[in-house]
Amino acid sequence: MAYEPPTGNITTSLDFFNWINTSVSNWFFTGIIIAVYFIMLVRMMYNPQTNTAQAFAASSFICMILTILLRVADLVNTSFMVIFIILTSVGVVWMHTENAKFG
Amino acid sequence: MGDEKMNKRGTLVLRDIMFMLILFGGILALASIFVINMAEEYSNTDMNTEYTAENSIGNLGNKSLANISGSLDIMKNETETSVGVVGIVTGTVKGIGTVLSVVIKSPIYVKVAITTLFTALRIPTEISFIVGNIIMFLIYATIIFVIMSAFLRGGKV
Repeated sequence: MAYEPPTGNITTSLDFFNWINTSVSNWFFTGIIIAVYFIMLVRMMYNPQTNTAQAFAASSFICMILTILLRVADLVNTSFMVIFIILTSVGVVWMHTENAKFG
Repeated sequence: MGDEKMNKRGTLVLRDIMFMLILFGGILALASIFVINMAEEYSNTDMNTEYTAENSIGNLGNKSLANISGSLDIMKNETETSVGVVGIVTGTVKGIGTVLSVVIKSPIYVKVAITTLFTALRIPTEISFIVGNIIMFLIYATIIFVIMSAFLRGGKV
């Protein structure tokens, strides 16, 4: 189904992003971040120099930075940003357990 | 890392749980600074209000760091007291008690050194406070658990 073109004048790129986001019920940048997260996670997991914990922590950290920037521009909501903050913390703890070699 | 030596058998002990709590709380506290700073920088009041709401994740990191600080203080005092008792009982090795007390107090100097370095590099006080505290807590936890382990004659804590 086609979505209506923007009614007002779009003068900045942020206006354009806002229109894209509202046209898909605020799911556009959420989807982008999830896609970026999994691509980075899988790519780093298959890198022989890093283990899964490091891949998890690194991709969570990068996505945390991206979501905070997007939240400042009101393109994602706060809960989504908080999820990546928690994932980063969990990733750091997981890296610690990998180094401690228990389990 | 040194953890491999401390943890040869590969069991999850209280020491590791303590380290995990410190790391988890520290990351949340640092993330809070990042989020609140960005929100204030770009005047996004909604983001600020939602993040610092009561029982939100923004408060959780600071609360958990404060709780860990309190419980580590209690453990530190208890360890100091028991060091004194051991010094009296053994008699001939009284000096060990004093030396151990100095060891227990030493991480504070590490924290002061880090904070001073950060201040010289013009890094904000909030960040130097949190990073200094995280490192001090980690050293404290290590020292306290090593001493406790020594009292238990190599028992895993």
